[in-house]
Amino acid sequence: MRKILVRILGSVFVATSLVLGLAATAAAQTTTYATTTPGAPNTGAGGDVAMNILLLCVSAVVVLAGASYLVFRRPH
Amino acid sequence: MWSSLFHRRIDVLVTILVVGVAAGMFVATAVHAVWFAPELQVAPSGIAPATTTPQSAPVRLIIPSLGIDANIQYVGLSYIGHNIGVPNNFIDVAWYKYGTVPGEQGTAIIDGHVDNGLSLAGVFKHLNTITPGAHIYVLTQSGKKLQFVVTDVQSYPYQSVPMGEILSANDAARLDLITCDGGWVAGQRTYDHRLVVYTELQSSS
Repeated sequence: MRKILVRILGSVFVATSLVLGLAATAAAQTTTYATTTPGAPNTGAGGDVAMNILLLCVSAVVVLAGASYLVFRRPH
Repeated sequence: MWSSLFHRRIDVLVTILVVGVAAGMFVATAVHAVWFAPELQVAPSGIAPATTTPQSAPVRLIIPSLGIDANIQYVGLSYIGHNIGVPNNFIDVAWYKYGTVPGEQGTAIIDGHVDNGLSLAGVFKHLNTITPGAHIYVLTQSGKKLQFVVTDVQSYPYQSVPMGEILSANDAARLDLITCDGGWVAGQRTYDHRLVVYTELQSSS
C-alpha cells in the first residue's frame, strides 16, 4: 500500500512539475502585426512572480520529500 | 526474495527520477526567472542588419543619473509577435540591429527589462524617473562616446505604441529607450504600457 502511494504521489509531482514548468516557460503571447513595422518589445516578467514562486516551492518540496525518503527509508 | 528486492529497487529508481526532474525544474525556473531568459528571435524579411564599424558599434549604455552602465546586446525581432527583441538577461540592454545605428541619422532603438521573473529590478527599473535634459551615453567598440540628451518621456498603451512614427523619424540622430510600464496583463503575460524615452544626439567624442 505504501509503495503504491509513493508511486502515485511521485507521478503526480512529476506531472504537476512538468505542466507548471511548461506553463511558466511558455513565451508571452502578443499581437501579431501584419505590417513590416515591428511592435514594441515585451520587456518585463514581474507578473510571472506568483507562478515562478509556486514552481520553485513545489519542486523544492518534491526534492526534499524524495531525498528524505531515500535517506530514511527502511529496507523491507 | 527476488521480487522484494526488485520492488525496492524500483522504488528507489522512481524516487531518484522524480527528485531529479524536480531538481532540474527548480534550477531551470530559478535561472530563467532571475538570470537567463532567452527569447527566440528572427530577422525581418528583406532587411539586413545595420552595418557597423568599430567606431560605430555600440557596446555600452550609460545613464549616470540612474546609475546604469549596461552591456548592449544586438537583437532582431521576437519570433512570437514580431516585436523588437529583448536582451536575454535582466541586466543588459538590447539594440535593435535592423534599425539605425546609435549616432547616425534616424532613430536607434534600445530596450531593457523593467523587472525579472521574481519581480526584482531589471536594468530599466527606474527609467520612468528620468526627466528631459538628462544625459545618456553610448560607448562604441572603439571607445567613442556618444552623448544624447533626453527630450521627452511618454508612456503608451502597449498595443498603441507609435512604432512606425518612432522608427521613421530621421530628421536627426535619435536614440529611443523602451521598457515596460504600468500594470500586468495576466492574459497576455505583459505589462499594459510601454515607456519611451526620446533622446537626441548632442555630441560625440
